[in-house]
Amino acid sequence: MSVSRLRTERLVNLVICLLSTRRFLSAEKIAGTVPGYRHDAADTRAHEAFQRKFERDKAELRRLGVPLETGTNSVFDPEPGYRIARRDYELPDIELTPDEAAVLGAAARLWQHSKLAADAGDGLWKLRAAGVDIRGGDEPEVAPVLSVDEAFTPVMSAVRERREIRFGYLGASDDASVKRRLQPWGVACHRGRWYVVGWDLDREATRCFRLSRITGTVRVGGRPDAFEMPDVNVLDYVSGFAHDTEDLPRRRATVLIAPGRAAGLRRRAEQFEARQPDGDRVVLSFQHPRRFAGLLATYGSDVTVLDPPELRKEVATLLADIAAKYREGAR
Amino acid sequence: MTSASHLSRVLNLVPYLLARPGIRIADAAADLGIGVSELRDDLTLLWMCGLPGYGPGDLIDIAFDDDTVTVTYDAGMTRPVRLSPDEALALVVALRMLVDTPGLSDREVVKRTLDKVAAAAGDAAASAARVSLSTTIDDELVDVFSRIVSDGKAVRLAYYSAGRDFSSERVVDPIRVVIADDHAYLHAWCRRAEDVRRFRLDRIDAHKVLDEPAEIPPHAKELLASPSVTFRDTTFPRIVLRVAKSARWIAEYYPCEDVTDEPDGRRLVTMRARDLEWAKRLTLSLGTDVEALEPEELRDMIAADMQTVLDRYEM
Repeated sequence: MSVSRLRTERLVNLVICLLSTRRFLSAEKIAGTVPGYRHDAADTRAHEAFQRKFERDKAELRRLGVPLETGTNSVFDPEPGYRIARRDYELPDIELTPDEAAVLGAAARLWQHSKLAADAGDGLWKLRAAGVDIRGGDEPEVAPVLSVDEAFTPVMSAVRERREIRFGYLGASDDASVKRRLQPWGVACHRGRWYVVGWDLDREATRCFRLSRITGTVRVGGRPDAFEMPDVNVLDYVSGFAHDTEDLPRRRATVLIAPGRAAGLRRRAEQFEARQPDGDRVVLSFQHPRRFAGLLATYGSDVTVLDPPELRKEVATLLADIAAKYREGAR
Repeated sequence: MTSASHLSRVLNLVPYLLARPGIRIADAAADLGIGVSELRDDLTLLWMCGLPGYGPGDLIDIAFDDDTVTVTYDAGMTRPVRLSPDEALALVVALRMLVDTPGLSDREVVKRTLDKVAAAAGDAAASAARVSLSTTIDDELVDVFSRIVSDGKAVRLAYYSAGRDFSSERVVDPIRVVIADDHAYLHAWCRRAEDVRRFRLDRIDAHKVLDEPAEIPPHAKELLASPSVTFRDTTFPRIVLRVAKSARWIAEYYPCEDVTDEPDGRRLVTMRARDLEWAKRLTLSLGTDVEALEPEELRDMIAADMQTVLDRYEM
């Protein structure tokens, strides 16, 4: 029998054993009871091997959501022991109608990310074991796709346990990855991108980080419950961070577009003037002159700004700066 | 399946079977997404498990014949394990995403499901409150196109392709609406390309539903499942760009063949371009943050174009 099968068998027996006891069972008692743990306690190496095995098994059960309780039975029996309280172990009753079960099945398939897809699948299996029948069902006519960055899972486990995280971060304008320490408060998805918001322990300020810019692995450290969660709306913070809220009035510009060119601009047009041989005079509205100049530059010589003069100058300067890169000997 | 998932599978198998006495082994295996022989292995394993004492009356007892299986003694394993925090998070966030998805016909059902799953998860679902989702997708557009999908009619589209900077008309057979990265797309069979295509809804300038049924070739869905080949096609021209810090995102946005960081924080990005016109537009759209290095032909194109337009500005 393979090692993993033996381990599964040992863990199932451990769960049944701890569910069946009201008293806390000491590690020694467990070792003498559950098959797979038996060893000669006088043999130091065998005993240490047991202790390592038992530690790994406890961690594995906790990861699966098995609530392992530790405690002592009485003042006369001070040795710590383990048990599983049935009310904490068992999934409460849940009944889903066939259409609700189909929705749940579809939701579990939204995850594109392997870890979360696996988590959703494991959760689904527990609900099936509770008697819910979840069949494949039809694909919904609208399918959202949920994808998250690698960092999502460790960050969320730190949020849950209120522990601090350390990670490397390559910000948009950083030269190299910088080490950051954060007390994470929550994550938000804004415009299809994931962010974590929290208290930056080095900057001593609230900070927001894009998960995709985290380099390497996220380390969860320190003690649990290390900080309080402030009453901050993470999403509001992120949307404030992601956009400059500068509100400029809308203005109009007239540009000349070469015949049949720059379709991307034409579809934003508010007004076309009568066609002339050199192209179409098109009226567009804009807010930020610099950003709008950047958009117009995309179309190169297909687009010429006629009015207003400031925009004309903005675009001409930008194009001249670009042109400088391509002059002979510029490289 | 990882060993953690294997343990979860075995721990919850007894309650699963208790809820379905006499279930066909093949049906149970299908529910689990495993083969019949794997399931038989799990059942044999459970036979070796039970209450301390491990005598005949203590071990889990399962009666199975060629087809069906029934648990006759459960050794106290009557209910599945509670959802772990990770499992609860994955299910609750996915359901919340579905509640917020425009165009769904049965939002009330999704809400009810979410409430029931969150209640069953209890404390394990608490951290889901720390995940916020927002979308800027135009609900009305999604509603319109998801209705077209469910009606099963072909549709004529006037579509603006940003890659080609070109608007054109085509007849497509809609397959479904997909929402990803805060954009909504119509996945459809394009009759002109004779291939599957993804159309961003906010780039559809006009549409007309035709009085003929959508005809989707059987292999269309398979094609959709495979990743897009654009940007990886080695017959496309290879370009090299030097990008400044503020435009480094393009290396994350487009599939690249090579990305090299320079000591000053700039990046050399090597990628495939659909054609040099496209490469020119990409380069110009990034203004002074990027310089095209290769091929020489691309540099010449940009230089000539800049000369033409600057003459017009008299600069």
